[in-house]
Amino acid sequence: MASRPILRVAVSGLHLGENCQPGPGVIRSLREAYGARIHVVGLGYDALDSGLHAEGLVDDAFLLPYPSHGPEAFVRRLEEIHATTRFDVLIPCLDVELPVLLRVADRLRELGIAFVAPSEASLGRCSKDRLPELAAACGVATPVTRRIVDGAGLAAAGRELGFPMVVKGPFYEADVVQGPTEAAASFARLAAKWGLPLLAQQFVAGEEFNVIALGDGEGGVHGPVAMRKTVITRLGKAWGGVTVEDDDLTATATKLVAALRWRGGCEVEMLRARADGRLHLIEINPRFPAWVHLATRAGVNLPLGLVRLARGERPPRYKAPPPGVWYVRHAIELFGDQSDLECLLATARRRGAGTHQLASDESPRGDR
Amino acid sequence: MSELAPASVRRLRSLAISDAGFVFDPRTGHSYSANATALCALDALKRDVPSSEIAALLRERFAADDVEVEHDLAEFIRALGEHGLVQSDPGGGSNGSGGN
Amino acid sequence: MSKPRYERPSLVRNVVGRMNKAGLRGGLTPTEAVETLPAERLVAEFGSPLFVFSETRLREHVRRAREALQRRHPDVRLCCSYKTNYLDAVCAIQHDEGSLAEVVSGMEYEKARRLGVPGEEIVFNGPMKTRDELVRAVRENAIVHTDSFDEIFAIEQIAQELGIRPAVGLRVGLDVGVYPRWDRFGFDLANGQAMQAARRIAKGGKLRLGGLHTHIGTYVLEAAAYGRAAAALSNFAGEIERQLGVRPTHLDLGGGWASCNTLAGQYQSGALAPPVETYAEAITTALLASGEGKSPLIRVLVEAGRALVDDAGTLLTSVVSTKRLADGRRAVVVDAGVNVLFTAWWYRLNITPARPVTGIVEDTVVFGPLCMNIDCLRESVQLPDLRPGDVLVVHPVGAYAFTQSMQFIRLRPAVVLLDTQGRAELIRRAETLDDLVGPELLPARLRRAVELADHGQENGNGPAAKNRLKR
Repeated sequence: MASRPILRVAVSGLHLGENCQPGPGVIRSLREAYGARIHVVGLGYDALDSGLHAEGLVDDAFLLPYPSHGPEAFVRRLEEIHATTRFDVLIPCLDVELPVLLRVADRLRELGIAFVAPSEASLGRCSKDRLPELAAACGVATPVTRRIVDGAGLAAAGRELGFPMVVKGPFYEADVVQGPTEAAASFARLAAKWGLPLLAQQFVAGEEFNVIALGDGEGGVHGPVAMRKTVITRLGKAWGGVTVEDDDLTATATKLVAALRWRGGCEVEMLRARADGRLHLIEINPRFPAWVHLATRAGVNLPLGLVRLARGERPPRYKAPPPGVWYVRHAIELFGDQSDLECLLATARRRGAGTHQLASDESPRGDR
Repeated sequence: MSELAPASVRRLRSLAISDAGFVFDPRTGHSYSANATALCALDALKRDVPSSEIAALLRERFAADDVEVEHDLAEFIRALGEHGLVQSDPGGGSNGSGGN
Repeated sequence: MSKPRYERPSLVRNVVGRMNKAGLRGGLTPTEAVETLPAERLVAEFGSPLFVFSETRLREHVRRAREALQRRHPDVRLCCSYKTNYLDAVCAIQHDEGSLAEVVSGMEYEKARRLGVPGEEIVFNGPMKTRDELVRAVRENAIVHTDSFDEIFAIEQIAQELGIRPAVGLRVGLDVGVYPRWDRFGFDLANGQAMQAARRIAKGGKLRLGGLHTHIGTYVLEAAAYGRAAAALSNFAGEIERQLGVRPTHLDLGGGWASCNTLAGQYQSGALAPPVETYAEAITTALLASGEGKSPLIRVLVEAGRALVDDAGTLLTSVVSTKRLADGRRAVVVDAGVNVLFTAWWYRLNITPARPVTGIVEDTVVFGPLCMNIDCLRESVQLPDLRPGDVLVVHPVGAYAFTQSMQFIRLRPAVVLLDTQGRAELIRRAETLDDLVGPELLPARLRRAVELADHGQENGNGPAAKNRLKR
């Protein structure tokens, strides 16, 4: 038997698919810090969320109602899970969970669940449609952005911003469109999926860089790590990357995160414009990115810092990460028999750790 | 009510059905969630029990007073046909107004 | 041991992306009671469908909004937005809480007067006010906000004829970043029309300048937009004072605050809409920071309707029949449709069963009773196996649903109010055919034709048909 866990943590955002979620990277970082002394409760949204099944990732698996069902359903389920399997720290890894969690923060605190989240005010200030305001306040360039709610607005944005132009969903997804027809198709697709308003953004040609950081809520910013995507998926997501050293980049990101008085993990997406070499703010994601494990491997374990913040402690003192640490994602298949899915669908829980091996009669899925 | 063809009974017998209501079809890889009455009906259909007796069985096991069980069963078998789990039988669903 | 409840046998295919038992369960807590009264009992007593309003919740919402505003600004008055819900009882409760009346037509104006609201406590907005309506409003010192120059000219003429000099306000069109922009109403601030209108009123010699009004949109989730509107209106008031030497009597920030309803295209739950305190803070902070922060503070009016009333209304409806659609989806037909829930076209209304649920739930289409393809309350909602007579609880429906309901194919249902003691009182009886045909006048020649046709068809039952028609 392993020693008693000193951290019992619940983590969501566990699917590594076409659009990779940060949960697995967060868990791996914590496992590297805590070794055997951690118990991880996996929180999924679908019986086939891959992280629920990967060997060595979660120690217990539960399904949550979608955040769109509202805060009440969400907190009731967390209360239910907490009553079954105690956990002390909750790390939400999806954007859409944050507004819901903020509404039920008091009830989570009553249960003794600590979590680190930005205030509603800072969350509002980094919403996609209010970024220009923040950028201006920090003296950082950003592409011209327009809120669009209908075809007329889209057409007006096209005339104003020209093509190519970027059409963005309120939470996720963006399309670079080459003309009005593509713009209309993208608008219809994104609006159907995410609702209105959407955003139209000026397309700035250049090279994209991402910075991961942890804010302490008082303007302190821990361990920014900058990365350039080296392998990019069809959806524009990083599938591989390399740490870079660029003081201007990390200083700019730090300035933005500090100005937001951000509390929690975040990712600042920036672009160095080909035309004038200036950095443009593209987006701030209100959680760690899926590549969070790269920062850990570069010596900056931000999920560990986040857990410390949640517990009212100081994050570790991070050293500057070395440039040149790279990662490339390597997709492998996970296997199981129908019993894993049956269990999750019938009870919304699968006891025990995930396994990627085909379960035989002597199943290694230890029922404890 | 017409009974299931032998091929349909064989097909239903090939399903992996759990007590919790999880049904897996090995031929297509689809899985299904079934409620308690569906489990009861599937179990009987696999044993080639005639429809009229299945209805009686459902009435016996569940509080089903004043309910058109025969009609529901016919609908259920039609739905199985739509999922490709039994051979669809054009005459099979015509019992809809029964039960009086 | 008693037998388990029977449900229709059902087999639902598991589809990736929807393999989420917890999600279904989370969304399917039954709503067994409205306040303390069981939904099924209310329907048994008052019939189905049935609108149910909670006096307690309505008063709570109004008080919360009023306190949030008055805590930060000493001179704020709430206005009861009639168009949101002009049921007498619903308006009377708000007036009892100290709200003024905000009306947008002569009919609404009369309704407010009938409820005993004096003219000077009625805010008269809207793009159409007839001459007669304007005469009455200026005579009774109503708070009129003009929408166009033609309206200003008309009031000038009325004032001259009556030999009075009434106070007249104006609606100001603002661009505060809310889309779609409502530029069809009032006088645009940016292009100078608003100042031109203020000058005409203040310096035209026939009228006095009243208040400034704006209304930036509907279901506006961004509370900060109200801060921008308040600042713009306040700065404009300062500009008027500097240029024209008169001070507007009040600033009316309109309505449009979001309720707990969820828009059809919205991903997040409507439960995450900003609370009234957030809107109140945005408005009062901007006002206190702007040029009008000097004392005495200018009076502020707020016309939030939906945010106060929506949550207080529930509709109980009963299942008429259930079916499978051609594509295999489960569907139910209920006895309330878009005839009484017009709002179903832009909201994702919550629909929950009124009794505890067992077994599996399925994506279900909820259709209304109209013989019209468009009569659909929800394209997809997770519901259990339902039977005719099962009661469903639709919420929130307090805003607009009743005022926009229509006698299309079916008559309007009854409305009850749950008072603060938890008792149910009928506040509007279910309509009868007489309510529909009462105003109709059938020309005598057609009456005869109908009688003949009836006579022929009913084979000798002519007198009965005649009696029916004469009633």
